[in-house]
Amino acid sequence: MWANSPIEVVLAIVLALAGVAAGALLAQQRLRLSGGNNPDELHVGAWTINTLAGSKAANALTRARIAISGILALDRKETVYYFCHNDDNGAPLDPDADWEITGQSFDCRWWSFTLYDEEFFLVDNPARRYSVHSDNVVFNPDGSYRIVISRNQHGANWLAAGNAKKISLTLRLYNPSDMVLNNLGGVKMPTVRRLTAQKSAA
Amino acid sequence: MIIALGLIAGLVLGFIVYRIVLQQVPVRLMTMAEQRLLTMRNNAANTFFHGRAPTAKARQIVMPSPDLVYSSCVYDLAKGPLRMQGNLPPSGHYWSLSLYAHNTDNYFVLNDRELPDRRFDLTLYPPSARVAEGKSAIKSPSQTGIALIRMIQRRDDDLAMIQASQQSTSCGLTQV
Repeated sequence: MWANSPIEVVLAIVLALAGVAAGALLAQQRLRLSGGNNPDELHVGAWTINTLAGSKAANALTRARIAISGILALDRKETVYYFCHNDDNGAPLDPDADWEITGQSFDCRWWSFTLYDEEFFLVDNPARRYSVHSDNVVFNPDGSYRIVISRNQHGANWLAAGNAKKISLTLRLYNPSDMVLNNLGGVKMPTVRRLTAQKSAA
Repeated sequence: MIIALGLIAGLVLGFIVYRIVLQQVPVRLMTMAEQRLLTMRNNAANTFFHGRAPTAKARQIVMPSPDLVYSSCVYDLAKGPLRMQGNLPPSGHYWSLSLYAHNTDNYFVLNDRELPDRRFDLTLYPPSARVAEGKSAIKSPSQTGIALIRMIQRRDDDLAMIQASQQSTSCGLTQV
């Protein structure tokens, strides 16, 4: 038998409690929606796709992350979701700046870009411009499109940032083709670039 | 020795806490989603609630699609199976029925391309039911969950056909 001093006993209890706290902190950190390694996620340019969103095969981290930012997501055979929180250079999408999304159409039945606010709800704006989709987008003559995120009115392909404190973008591909499903990371994703500098605080 | 035990206990407890947090987050958020949807309909479970395309005022469920019209049903199979039926919008218009377990898994999806006769009729059974599953007989992994119908509204003119589909859609508890 070993005789343990009171200090050793206290230290052992502290170590055990520290483990509990570390577990909780690690979970909190992993639940952040960007960063960290998740084997279910792919990164394509500015976009992140969780290949098992909504799926029964999702790991616990995927299930928890999707529950936070997109509960009731569809399985990828029905809809593929791409999320964008940062631009092509990794800078967070700042609602005070204007942003440009340029790209081509997608191989699916229907697609849609939607802008969300800091709580992952639609951005309140008087014009009710919440999304640009394959039916209302105005294409350039070469078949590409240019969509602008801005607090101010910005033509036909405009996603209104309203008074949002933070913004993020979601691209949905409904009934994607087998080619898309078999190569989710190979889809040619649109570029996301800053158009204006951040406005300085008054 | 006891310090080493404390260290091992810390590692084991930390891993357990980490797993519990990740497992509980979806369940808790799903419970909140079910409660929020039930509040919108006077706590009526096992009934479809037919909505309109979400706006910024829709703040019950995160990341709503503004292009979809939703019909939702919070189900509770404690008293038996739930039968859901209705008509789809005309051919070419996207429609899907998806079922979500209490841990948020999307365990079943049916879309308009799989229903050429433009009608659906399926029965949702509790986890303990002994039933041969198929397109019209589904077993839920959990006693409670959410059934969600999505229809794309491309333009304002689509609303009439969407409402016609919604009016034909219903669900209710049935006998085994």
